[in-house]
Amino acid sequence: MGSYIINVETPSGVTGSVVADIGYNYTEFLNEINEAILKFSGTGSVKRSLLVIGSKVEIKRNGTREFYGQIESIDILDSGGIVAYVSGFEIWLAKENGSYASSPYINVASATINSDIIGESSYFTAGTIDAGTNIDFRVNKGESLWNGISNLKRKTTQDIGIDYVNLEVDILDHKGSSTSVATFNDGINIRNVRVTETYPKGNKVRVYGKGDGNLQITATAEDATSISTYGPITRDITDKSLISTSEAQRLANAERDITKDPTKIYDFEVINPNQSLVSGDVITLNSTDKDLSNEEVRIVAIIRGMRGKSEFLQLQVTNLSYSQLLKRKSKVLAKIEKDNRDLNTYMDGTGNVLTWSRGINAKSGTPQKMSFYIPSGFITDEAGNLRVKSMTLDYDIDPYRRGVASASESDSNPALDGATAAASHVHNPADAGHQHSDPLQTSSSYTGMTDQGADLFSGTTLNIGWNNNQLSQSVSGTLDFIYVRVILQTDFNNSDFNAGIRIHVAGNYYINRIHMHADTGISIRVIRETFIFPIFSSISSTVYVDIYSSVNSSYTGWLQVYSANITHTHTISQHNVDSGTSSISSSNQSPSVTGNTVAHNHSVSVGDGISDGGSVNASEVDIYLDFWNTGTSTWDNKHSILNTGKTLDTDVDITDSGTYPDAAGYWRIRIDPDNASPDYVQGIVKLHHSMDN
Amino acid sequence: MKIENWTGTVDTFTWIYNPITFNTEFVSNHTVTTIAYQNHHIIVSGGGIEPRSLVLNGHYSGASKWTNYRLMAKHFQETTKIKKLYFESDKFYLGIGKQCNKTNTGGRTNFIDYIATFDTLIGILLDNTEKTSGTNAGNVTTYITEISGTVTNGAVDITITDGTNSIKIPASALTTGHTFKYELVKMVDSGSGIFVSEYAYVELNGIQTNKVETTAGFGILKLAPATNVTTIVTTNITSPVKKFRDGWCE
Repeated sequence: MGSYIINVETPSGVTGSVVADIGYNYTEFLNEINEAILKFSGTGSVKRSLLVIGSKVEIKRNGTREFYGQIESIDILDSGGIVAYVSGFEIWLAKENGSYASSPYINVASATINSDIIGESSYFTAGTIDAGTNIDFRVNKGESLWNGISNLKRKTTQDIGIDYVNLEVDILDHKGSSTSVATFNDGINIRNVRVTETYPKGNKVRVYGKGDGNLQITATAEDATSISTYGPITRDITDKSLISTSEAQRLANAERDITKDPTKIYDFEVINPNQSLVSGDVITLNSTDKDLSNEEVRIVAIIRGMRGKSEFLQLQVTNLSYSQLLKRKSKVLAKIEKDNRDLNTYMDGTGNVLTWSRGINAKSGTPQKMSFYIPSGFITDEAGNLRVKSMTLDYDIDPYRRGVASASESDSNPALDGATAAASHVHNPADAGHQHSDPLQTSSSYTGMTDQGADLFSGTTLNIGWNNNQLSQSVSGTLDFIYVRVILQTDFNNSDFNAGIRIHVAGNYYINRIHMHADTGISIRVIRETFIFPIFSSISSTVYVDIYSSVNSSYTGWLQVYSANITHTHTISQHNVDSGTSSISSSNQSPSVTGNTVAHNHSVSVGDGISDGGSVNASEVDIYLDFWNTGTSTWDNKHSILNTGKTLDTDVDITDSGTYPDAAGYWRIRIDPDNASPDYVQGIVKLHHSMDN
Repeated sequence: MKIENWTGTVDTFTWIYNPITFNTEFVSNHTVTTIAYQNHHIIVSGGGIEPRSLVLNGHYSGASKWTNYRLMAKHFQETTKIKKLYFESDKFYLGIGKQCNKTNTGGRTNFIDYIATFDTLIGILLDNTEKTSGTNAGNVTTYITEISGTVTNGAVDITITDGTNSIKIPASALTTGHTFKYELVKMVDSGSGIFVSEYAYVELNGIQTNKVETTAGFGILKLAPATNVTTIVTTNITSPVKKFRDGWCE
């Protein structure tokens, strides 16, 4: 037998243990809210104070919390006898309504939606959330969290798991093991087996979603095999929360797969209750007299506890595809209530939206004004009740918009007439004429000679004959002349030998200089001479020196090249032609026109055109809601929203929390920018009201 | 043979002579689950027994026969109080009277014949001597009848365990220096003069608390034969006195 502990915590936080001596049981349902029942033959007043409405009940088996719930109903009998009815703690998911700010979801991962819904709970957090699938889905803010995740899991064919230890909600592709975890044989492991097999509930499923008539969202899924065997069994499902055909088709397919086969439900008791099973587990059944041979079934309900003097474990299992709890009376009633609630929650909608819009240039103190008339016939029902759901404003500030092109002016020069029509002016400063500035020499010096560079060889034994290009120097620029200076010096003594040079530039030979019978006794520098070549053009080339020797001896040589520009210019920018001097200031240069003052015309032309300003001047707006008072013929301000901090916003509630509009008539919106420079102000008023059918 | 109250005023009544017969039997409370149409069946047993129904068959005579009978009958009728029915001079059963049938016969005018039955709360004999130390010298697991002391620290839980069964009184219920008392069983008022037996009854500063949490086992402290009471471990109780009585099967 398992070791059971039942702990109770009152709403005020008092915790104690109780012994339900008459008996107790608790459930673990698949995808349904669990429940427990505790029965006491009698209780003392102190102990009984634990068992009150709202007390939390924890049932541990072998040290592990297997059930956690809340007392929802109590029967109190003679001598303090008590029967306490406990709902699983997930009942809070059925009590809590979410705001579902992100609903409706369009092609969003079901895991995201589940996390959103569970995240709104104050009692549970999200545990393991399997990926599921992308889906269109809506959940109305009037809907409970439990209905939200139940509706969603129905479409994703997932399971809901409640983790009482960590108070988490799991959304699992398959709760429990999808492969058999145990084999139970009738008469050995289980007893009192009852197998209930019924006709398929539906092999042609038609789903109806939002809308009606031709616009209603519908989907159909059928199973040909089942239809051929059992005939067409049409099953209609109406789920007004469906907002897309794909979502409806998904539901139709899921429901078809669940109900296309005959439903098999098996009830039995497990002889040894000490089993580690969870709802959703697949197990294997054998019972020869019930024609069960290795029948794989799925646990949809586990009920365990003490009944009289005995511990018991009761399972309800179904064929794998069905996997749904056979609903008892209370569950059936709850489902009827849920379906009805869903039907009423997800109305098709008979609302209408009236809109008024305007755009105009406006600035601080000169707001955009938008008047509109709300007719009573549109927004009141037959009893005269206003049926306005919301009234909002969208506004946007854009750069100022000009409606004309730039202006141009002709005949702007005055036309002079009369005897002194021709204006004259003088240059002499003494006559108040205008002056010219000092002459200015823009270049006062120039460079005559430029060193183009030098070359040298030293201690070089030259061959007998011409030694070409022995010296060289590049030369460039726009030049008049180049000066080439060459020195050839012997490093030996000889009284009778021949030496010479020749100079060439760009293939043109300019100089040949030969010393016959040279004698180093006279001078070791057998050649020392400067040559001048005319250029008078732009050049970029190299000066080469070839050296002749009649002996195979060592020489030293130098080459130096200079360039020269002889021609140049000097410029003068201004000169006083009157005085011939250069000491004149530049003032008083405008001629003084004299003559008659005459009448003249300006012809201005403004063209067609539209253009926008460069930027928005305003940084925020004030919004005013006015109502036309027919008695005083004035606009009465009803509501204002100041300093919005924005120049663009949508769906701004202008009803003052639902107070306005409170009457049919003329209403007006003023949008007042905060800048004195104008901008283009646009506004759209949207009034959502119900239709009175 | 004698009978007296388990708690409060002892109010002892001693038989002037024992009943002619006083039968006792025990019936196991195991369950048998029948496998349909088979010879093999399922037994579930925790080693427990059903409440014993003791039957006393005797008579009174002499000048005080009515007095004695009425004293005895009063105990058997006083079912809101737990009684100690001594079957031996130093061993008793805990329980309450179930029935007292006075037989009037014409031939025994000087006698009052009676048949009285007694239901036990605990199906073992407890020794008359209440110990605070040593071992359970009996031959079956007995019960800790009382633990008393004072709360050491009001900010810390009290825990008591026998190794299998454990209870906890949370700090939220405690005040430093208050008296603490655990009792095996006590009849408590359901509110209308109807009493209910409650096990693991705990008083703090003389007032019953409902903040007794079973943290392991059944939460009723036991002591196996030859086991020292020191194996009962308490925390946050100053000078705990742990009382028990040797337990006997018969």
